[in-house]
Amino acid sequence: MEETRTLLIRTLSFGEIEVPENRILSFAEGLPGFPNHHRFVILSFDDLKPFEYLQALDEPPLAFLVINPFLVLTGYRMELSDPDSADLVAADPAELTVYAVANIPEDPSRATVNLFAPIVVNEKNRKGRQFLLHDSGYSVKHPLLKSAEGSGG
Amino acid sequence: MLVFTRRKGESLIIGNEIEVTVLNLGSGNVKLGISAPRHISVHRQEVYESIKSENLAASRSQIPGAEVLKKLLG
Repeated sequence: MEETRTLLIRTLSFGEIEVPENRILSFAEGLPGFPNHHRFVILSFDDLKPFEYLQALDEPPLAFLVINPFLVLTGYRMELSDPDSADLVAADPAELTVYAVANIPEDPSRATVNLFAPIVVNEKNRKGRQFLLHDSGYSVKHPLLKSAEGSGG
Repeated sequence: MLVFTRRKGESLIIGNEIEVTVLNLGSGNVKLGISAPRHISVHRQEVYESIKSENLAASRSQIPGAEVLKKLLG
């Protein structure tokens, strides 16, 4: 019987975590700003919902807080243009998972989420990529607060 | 930086697979066509830079505690 091998990864926020190898996502190009981080894994914690962590396996330690963009903006839609998405476009849309990168600064009322550049993962081949939705009109810094109240300053 | 002079309709080849063609010359702008393999992404530099700096900022994001989560969209 085949055993699933696990990797021990070092995280900044959660200490060392064991990750099954078959959960590893491969980002051929890395991410803009992080071209040398190619292997990531999604970490889910009950007390962090609806957020999850996109945790890099490559050094130096790197992690992103991510959220399903459809939870942030009802009617969110993305069209993957053909040349951009060879690894992903052939897939059944149900096999794709979409994550938006969130950014919560020290003042959480200024929390934002990047709806312009979602991260798309093909669950079947475990490949991922961050897409830039050029003509979408979505914001790189979409506010995350429920209401605009208290979002000043 | 390598510098080339090209006329309308002429191209450059980068590596074995990337071709950049000058399609049109306007006043103060130039229209380029790029043929590249599908795994190579091509972006306007200023847009790419904005995503890069947002990713860098997001990599320093706080981990939201229960109080913050309650206030944020969920």
